[in-house]
Amino acid sequence: MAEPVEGRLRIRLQPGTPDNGVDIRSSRPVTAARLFIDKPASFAVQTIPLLFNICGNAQLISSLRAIESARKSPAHDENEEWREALLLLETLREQLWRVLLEWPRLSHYEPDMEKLARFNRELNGFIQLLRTDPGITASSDETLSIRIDQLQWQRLASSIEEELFAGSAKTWLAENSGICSLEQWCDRNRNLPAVLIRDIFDRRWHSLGFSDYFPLSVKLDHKVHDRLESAEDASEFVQQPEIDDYCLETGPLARHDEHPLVEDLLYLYGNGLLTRMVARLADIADALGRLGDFFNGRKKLFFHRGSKGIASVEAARGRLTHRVRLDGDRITDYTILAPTEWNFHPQGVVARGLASLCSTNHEQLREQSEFIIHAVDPCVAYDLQIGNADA
Amino acid sequence: MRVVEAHSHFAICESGDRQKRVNTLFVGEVEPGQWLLVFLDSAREILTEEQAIQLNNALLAVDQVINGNMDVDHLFSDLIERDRLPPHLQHLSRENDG
Repeated sequence: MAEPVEGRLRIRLQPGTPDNGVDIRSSRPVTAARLFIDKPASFAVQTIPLLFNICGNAQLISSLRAIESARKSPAHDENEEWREALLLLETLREQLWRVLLEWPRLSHYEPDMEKLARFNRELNGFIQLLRTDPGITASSDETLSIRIDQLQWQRLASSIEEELFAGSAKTWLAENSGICSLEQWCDRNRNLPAVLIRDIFDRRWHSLGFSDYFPLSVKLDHKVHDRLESAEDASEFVQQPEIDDYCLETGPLARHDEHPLVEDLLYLYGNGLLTRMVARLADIADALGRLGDFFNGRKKLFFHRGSKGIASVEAARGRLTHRVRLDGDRITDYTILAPTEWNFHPQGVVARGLASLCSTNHEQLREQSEFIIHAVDPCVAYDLQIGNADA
Repeated sequence: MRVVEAHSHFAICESGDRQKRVNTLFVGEVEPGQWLLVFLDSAREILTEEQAIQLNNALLAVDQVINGNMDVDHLFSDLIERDRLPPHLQHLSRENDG
């Protein structure tokens, strides 16, 4: 069998040198989308979920929207809403993994594997239900036949809410409007995120990894799209993307930086560890709320179609963009710009965060670096080297 | 990766001549001979043999393409069919044929 080709990140710090001598190198195959050139559009739609299995649904939806916009053949609104629900379910699954498995491990707490496994299996059930409906990959010609078991969803959502928010996710989002309410929530509750946030307070790591905050907002999409349209620099751009010489960041923090709690933490502690972890919780609460309202018919889900062969979606780890050029049904060019390339750019937000660390103790520097990398979240494995000692 | 030994909550899996311990808690019980989609040492999905072959061929193709070899159609003979476009785009394929 072939070895995985997702590549790796190699992250190196040299303590005692300016900016910790941070060096980030990626062996991610960002030009893999060349595979689709001279193939029918259907080939990309069928192959993408195979190649990008962890965020496969975000990749698929971005691809469908890019192709449909190149064809000027948009999907029906209802189909787009269910696609958005599929994106949110995938985001929920990935963020739960980070919060319930990796965050406690880094903090030396034993994760509740049985509970996470149950959440994972049940979410995968919903994801499969949506993913296998022909309406997800089709437009108005194809009738959607998705029927959500409301009771099953409500039971799952309630269990996740109890585990993460010690109550309703909507209430958590509504009542936590600043640092004071967050501290009170942590003091009142003994659920895992409350304990882990308290741990950050106790270690005084609120601002760990703080650096200049340059979010990749939706408003910048046109600039990203312009760069992708420019054939001569598109392949260079997707390897190390920058806009106007700024290395931008994308992900849960950029998605929720206007929520009062996240905004307050950004003001107080910048884009450091606490703000990032809380933004991830806000991402989960938001996804649970929107999915619940959609499944019970209370609210529609907002979506963005592609335009002129380019489509961007909010994947779990951040903004993901596909650009396709077609000649009839044949693909003549295909480019994918993934969140990891923004965030793990050699001068990007992770590099800046690691450069800001002050510890001279190698073990502590390793622990802090792991927290920062985890908080931003690469979609591939990484090797971390501190000084000359291999990870 | 293919399951070689199944244990409670983990399995020994192989890919080529490489073996590793994989956490299987998230997919439930597995059996020797089954195929698993593995990400960062955890199984995320149980695959059918057909899915595993498709996935393997896709990875092989990417490996070849990034090394400059664009001749990969033989790895996707079951996928490169124009009539498998999503239903709402199929008429465009037929129009182009005409």
